[in-house]
Amino acid sequence: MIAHDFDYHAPRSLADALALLGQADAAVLGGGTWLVPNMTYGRQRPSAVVDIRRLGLDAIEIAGDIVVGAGVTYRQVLQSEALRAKLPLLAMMAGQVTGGPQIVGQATLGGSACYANPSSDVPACLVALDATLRLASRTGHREVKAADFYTGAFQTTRRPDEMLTHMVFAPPPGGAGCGYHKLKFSTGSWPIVTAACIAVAATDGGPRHRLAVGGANAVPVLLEIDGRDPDEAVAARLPSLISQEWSDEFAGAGYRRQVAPAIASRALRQARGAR
Amino acid sequence: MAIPEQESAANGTGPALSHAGVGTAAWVGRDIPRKDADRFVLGHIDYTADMIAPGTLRVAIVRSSHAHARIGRIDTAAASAAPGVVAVFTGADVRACSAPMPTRVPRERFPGPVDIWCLAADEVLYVGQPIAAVVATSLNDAEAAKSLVEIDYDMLEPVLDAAAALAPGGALARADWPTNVVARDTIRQGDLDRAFQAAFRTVGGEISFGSGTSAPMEPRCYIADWDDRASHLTLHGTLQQPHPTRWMLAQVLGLREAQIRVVAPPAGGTFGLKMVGHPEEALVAILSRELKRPVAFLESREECFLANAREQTHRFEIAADAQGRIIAFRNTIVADVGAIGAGGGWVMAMVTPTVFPTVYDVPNVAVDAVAVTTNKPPWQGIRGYGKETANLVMERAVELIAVELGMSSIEVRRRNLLPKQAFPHRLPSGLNLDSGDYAPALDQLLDLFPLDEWRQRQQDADSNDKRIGIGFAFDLTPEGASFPGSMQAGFETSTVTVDPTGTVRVATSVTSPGGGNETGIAQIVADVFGLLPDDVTIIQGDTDITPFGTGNTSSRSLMFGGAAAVLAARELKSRVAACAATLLQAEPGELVFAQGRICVDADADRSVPFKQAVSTIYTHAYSIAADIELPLQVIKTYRSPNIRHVPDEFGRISAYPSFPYSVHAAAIEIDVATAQVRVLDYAAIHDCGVVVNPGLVEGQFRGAVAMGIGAALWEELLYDESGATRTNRFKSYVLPRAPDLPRIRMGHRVTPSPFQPLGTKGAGESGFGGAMSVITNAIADALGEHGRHVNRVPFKPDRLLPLLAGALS
Repeated sequence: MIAHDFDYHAPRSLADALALLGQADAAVLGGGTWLVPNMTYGRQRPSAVVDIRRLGLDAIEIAGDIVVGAGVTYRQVLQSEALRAKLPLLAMMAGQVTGGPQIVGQATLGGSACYANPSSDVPACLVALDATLRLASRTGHREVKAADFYTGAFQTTRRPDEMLTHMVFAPPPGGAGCGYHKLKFSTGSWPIVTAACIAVAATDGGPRHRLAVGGANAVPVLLEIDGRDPDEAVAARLPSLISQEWSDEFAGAGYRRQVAPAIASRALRQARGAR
Repeated sequence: MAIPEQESAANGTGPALSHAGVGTAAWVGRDIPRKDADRFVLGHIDYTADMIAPGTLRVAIVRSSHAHARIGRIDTAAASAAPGVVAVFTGADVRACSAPMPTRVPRERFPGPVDIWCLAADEVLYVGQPIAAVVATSLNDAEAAKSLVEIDYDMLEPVLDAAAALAPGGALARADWPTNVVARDTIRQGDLDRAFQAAFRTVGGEISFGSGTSAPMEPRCYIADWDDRASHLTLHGTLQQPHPTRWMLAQVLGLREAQIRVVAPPAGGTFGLKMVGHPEEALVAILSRELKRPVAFLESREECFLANAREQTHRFEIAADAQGRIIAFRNTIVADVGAIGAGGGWVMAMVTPTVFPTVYDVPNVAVDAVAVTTNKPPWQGIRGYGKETANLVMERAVELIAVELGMSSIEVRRRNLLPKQAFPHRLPSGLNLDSGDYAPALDQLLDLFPLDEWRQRQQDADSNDKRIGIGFAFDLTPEGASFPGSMQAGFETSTVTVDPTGTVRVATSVTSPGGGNETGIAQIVADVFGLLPDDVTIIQGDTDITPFGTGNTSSRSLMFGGAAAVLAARELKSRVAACAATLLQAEPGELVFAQGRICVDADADRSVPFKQAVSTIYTHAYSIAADIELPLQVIKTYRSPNIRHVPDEFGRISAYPSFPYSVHAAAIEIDVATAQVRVLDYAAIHDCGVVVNPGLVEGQFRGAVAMGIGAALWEELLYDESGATRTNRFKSYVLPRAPDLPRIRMGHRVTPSPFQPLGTKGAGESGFGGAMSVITNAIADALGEHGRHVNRVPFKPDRLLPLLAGALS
């Protein structure tokens, strides 16, 4: 139950939505799987809620670049044959989201991207895929690379008057492999550490890996590693990149830094094998 | 009624479906679906919260944000003026119009005055303690106005763990008590010093348990409706114990019991949480009487996680002779029971020491237990009720001494299990074990669990990648708690009525937590009359129409409530038999009740329908039925002959009548890189005496195992440095889900209790401690030689990882 009063808007145009965002301490409502519980627990008390359901942001377009609307749900990702063919990593990630239809069919990729929970699956995936985030506001539009979007736990470069409209992905080169490995302690647990990896074949010295580790740090950690035996590089470099280690009720200080290399190696192995 | 055939239930296949022969049970032992299953599945059941009528006022509770403080000024003016708000009550308001809540046990047991009010009056004792009640026309308005109540706190030093509570000269968790120690127990049997000196091998260890909670699907809810013109209160609520709740309300409100009706609608699980003594039970009643309107409280999930339990530390030592006989065991227990409320949750800490040395025959035993109060939320009843920790510690001790002896722990168990002929057996605490057949249960388990195969897989596993561990554990669960001087005094009452159409009504004091005991009671009563369970209606949870009793706690429903129903039914049967004997021109002793008919044993053609005999009694009260006592209604109370409240020669009482046991085996796998544990295989043998309904027993047992695995691996309440509960959602306090659990293979043994008319023992909590223990032993096994250092439950990976590192090095 939400204790405070607020205005609910479901505008029919992006311009109307952006006008509302510019006025008040408004919150954007995607699937609501974050916003509604947070409002219920009094952790967010927006005076207005702007629902994006009528803005047509739930499309997946594949024409050269792959453009995923901010309102696309995990289920839509899983149901799109084309997306699964072009961005299998995204489908792998969506396929491992638990919570049943109430979460998978309701929660949006854009919502998860913007909420920036260190424990969520989406941010590190966007970083691994080098996604570009399109942000819109009354005063204009801009594009931000996923790796630059995350500034801290639950913090992004999105301004309160801005709305994420789309996530844009360049299709990985042919022959690229991908891997997604997630450590969670039980079905109901948050992800503890996630690793998303794209492996691209190179002519000399083995594949190139673009690896993003989520859950372990306040923001996703990106590593680019070349070579046939990247595990050593991961073990050497990853722990020091976890500069703001995340800890919570599931695992205290030190745990995630310690186990992250193993999780990363599993994603790397999968990416090399899954090509 | 004779004790029913046991073998039918023993092999788990159930008896033949046809009516059995003369004198045997037709329905006991059968796996029939629970009564009203369709209504539950189709959503046609009204739970308490479904009964909040339009126009009912709603309560939001302002709770303490500090662990320990004196309450200064409370300003309710702004909240009182907020939209929809009808009233704001504080502790002072409550004190002006009611009496303190009675505690469940005598006040003289506590070290200081125990006035417990439903809203804190002077001093707050934990984060989350109710301080003020905001009553509004809608829950939204009540919740919204909560933040407008201003409270001045005068900080007191909080006591947040047992070590601080016991520190000499340390802070006091309750300012007007001279000590933080709320209870002690000292149990002695034999000569410990001599036994330890004479021992061939000794070993010791320490195990601590984190806090846990019950987290039922349905949170608590209470609806009070005071009828001012009739001076009568009706309380509907999520209540396991409607009669004790009425007793509590009568004292708080200064009313006679006759002025109060307490109703417990069907429950969505409780696991001990909904026992009497929550402040909101009294609060809504007080508010309704003062405001002369119905008032409802519905607990949020966050509030539900304030229910604390189990945090304790054991330091134990065990000794064995050269033949592997355990000759001595000693243990010191320190339990942190949080703040003391009106409920009896803290009693669990005093049950733990009484269970040692569980299923083993140990001549020399010493257990010292101390319960300390701290400024954490009060303990609330939870499945296991303290027995689970005793079992886990005992099972660890057996494993450790087996290592010292160089013997397999299975062999050590075999050499020390109490033999069948040793029963009844008095434990050092005074508890009198009714019956058991432990070693054959272990054999039966080894038929069900492929030990050799798992040992092979353990050897074959790449120990740098995955470690496999195999565990065994016994579990002894005393059931049917009957504490002297409390409203859990150890009897239950059933009123059985045969109505004029020949159907049967059982109004019983035991309530159903949602586990299906009504179906079991219908089965045993149907057998008395030779009727169908569908002919028997069970009425529960209404103090106006059910007789007095404890309610549903400690797996007592069939053991006590069912037994009382059988005793009453047997008396009614003899009345109906008297009438039938006249109708059939036979002797009552010749008659058999089966398949809805009453027939002459030797001549099946001479019979009369049960309904006809009953109808005759109701319609011929001056002729055929002139000598039959009317109405056809009998009330009986059942008291167990295996409860002793008079201290024995050692000064001990026996507060539990029944001792179901189980033996468990599990295989687990630890991911070496992350210390994540997965349960690969699970098997158990369970013995609760005569099984009335195998499906219901298996459902309870599997639920207990699932809960035990959760408590061993994932579930832990955490508190921050201010004493606030950090784990207040299902995303931070994680219950096991189906994909997290293996298939639980289960077998029955049936060793009837000689003390209970049907031979049944409690079934409900049994298995919980065994599951915690077997997972613990399996994890220790996976760690090899380093397993001896296992010392903390649950095994969250961040704690297990350093142990694993030690095992690898």
